[in-house]
Amino acid sequence: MAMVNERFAQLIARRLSGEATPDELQELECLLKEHPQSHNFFEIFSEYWQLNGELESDAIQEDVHFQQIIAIAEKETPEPVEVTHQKLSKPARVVSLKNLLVAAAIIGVIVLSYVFIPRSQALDKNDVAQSEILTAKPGARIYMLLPDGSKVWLNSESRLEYKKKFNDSIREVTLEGEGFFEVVKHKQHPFIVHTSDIDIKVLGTAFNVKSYPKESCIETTLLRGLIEVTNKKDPSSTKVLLYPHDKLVFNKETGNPNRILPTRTQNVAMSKPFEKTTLSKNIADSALAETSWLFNKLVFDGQTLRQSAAKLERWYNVNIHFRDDKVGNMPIRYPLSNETIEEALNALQYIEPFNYRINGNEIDIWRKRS
Amino acid sequence: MNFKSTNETLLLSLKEKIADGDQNSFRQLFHLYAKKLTQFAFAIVKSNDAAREIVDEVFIKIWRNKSSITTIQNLTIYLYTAIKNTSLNYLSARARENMVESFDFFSVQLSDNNSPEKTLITSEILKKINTAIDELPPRCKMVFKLVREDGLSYKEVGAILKISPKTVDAQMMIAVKQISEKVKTDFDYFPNRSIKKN
Repeated sequence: MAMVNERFAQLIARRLSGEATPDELQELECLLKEHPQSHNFFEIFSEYWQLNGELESDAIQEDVHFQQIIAIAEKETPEPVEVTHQKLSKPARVVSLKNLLVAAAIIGVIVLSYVFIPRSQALDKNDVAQSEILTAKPGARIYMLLPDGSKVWLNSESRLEYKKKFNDSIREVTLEGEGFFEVVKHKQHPFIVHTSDIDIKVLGTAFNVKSYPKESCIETTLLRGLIEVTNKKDPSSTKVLLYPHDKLVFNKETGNPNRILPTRTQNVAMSKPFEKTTLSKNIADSALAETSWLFNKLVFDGQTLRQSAAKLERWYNVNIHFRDDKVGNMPIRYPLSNETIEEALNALQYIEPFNYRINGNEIDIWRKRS
Repeated sequence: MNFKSTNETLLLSLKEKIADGDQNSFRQLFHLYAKKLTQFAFAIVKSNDAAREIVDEVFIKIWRNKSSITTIQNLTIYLYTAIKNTSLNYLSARARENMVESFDFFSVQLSDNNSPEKTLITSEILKKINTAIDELPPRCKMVFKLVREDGLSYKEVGAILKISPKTVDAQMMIAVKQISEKVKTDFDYFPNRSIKKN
């Protein structure tokens, strides 16, 4: 004779799980009275059921875990943005897709067709392949999806060129200026970014390249994945591999393999014109000076106003003139986001006292007499 | 058990505050569920590290999309379903084969119970109950675990495992019945219990 029949078992389960109706509770009471032996089982099983009430967790450990989750969740990932045209003295506003939702999709189409006014032209007269050119004007930033699904963000005064037949198998672009790439992985077909002096071969990854003609260095910063950098002028030299949060600075002037630069990692000793450093891994992408522009922020990370002038000029589409040598030499650690150029200069005056005058797109800066 | 009743009102207000970006409410939500969800994930993937990562992934997603949390009707079902799906994805990615969701193929891991001091249950009986539960068919075991350990309602378990509440009821009945049969012999050694009863 079974100790507990099916109905009995059903009622016990419902009772303990809180599913039983008042009628069923009563029914169970009766059954328990009639079957004292089952009553034993019920008592013991009830107690077993409660045992799990002490699912105790280590609150501190759990809190640490929670902090990690928040930290990761709040690490912003660049959202697709769209082009905005720059008016003087307001930094380009990059509108996040989140806020736009549907509108963004529509604008996106318009924007693409706008940016993309097919300025295609035969690059080289011998080269039949046509090129697409994408340009971010001074003070504007552009987001663009390439035909293979890779994403590109172009900083102001930058230009990206690629062959019209760019597809899954031919993935080469030429960059002048600054761009952030999020490249779709494709084992057989590496993605190659050409700059004036170096080539960057990509194997599915996210990274930033800064290669402005007027600047003496080309900077490559890797966030995720793996990239390989070669010196164009000396293709036989050792290739440099970058790992996440590595930053590689290539000096165009010393870009001669005979010159040796002071280096910080052993990798660099072999790759002379390069200087490789590793950035803090705990910093959110938006707080890295190298990628802050993606998040509509301009981060000064210890450079002087003089060193950052080019950045500011591109950012605000202005020309900055230092009227004497004594100004602009203090290191600045300061993030700018939505300030106008006046607001930015006013803020910077707290760090280093100076006078300025804005005249159209021209800005004069000179030392404050005390 | 009060988990269930207090929870509904609490969850409602938590949802609102989380949608507003209140980190403390999110922390509260995490503390409410983290342990249970980790065990649930562990029951499927059998790896502590993976279970933790799966829980991370689900909570990270919630925080990143916090503004839409109010559109989730039943947060409990949502969380468990998200953990289930993420765990199954993890497994199928690992096994590179199509797994069936019914839990028929899984061995379900139940959490260890604390040693029973000052209870009716001797370690002998506890061992028997645990063995009985271990021998339940996997789906039955999962149902039993979610109802008992996690305090979920039949309806919630049904929604999470994609079975009807009736099936949950039936599975629970089977579980209790089988357990009672496995421990049956032990009751015969407790004549005093039935005597005390009068």
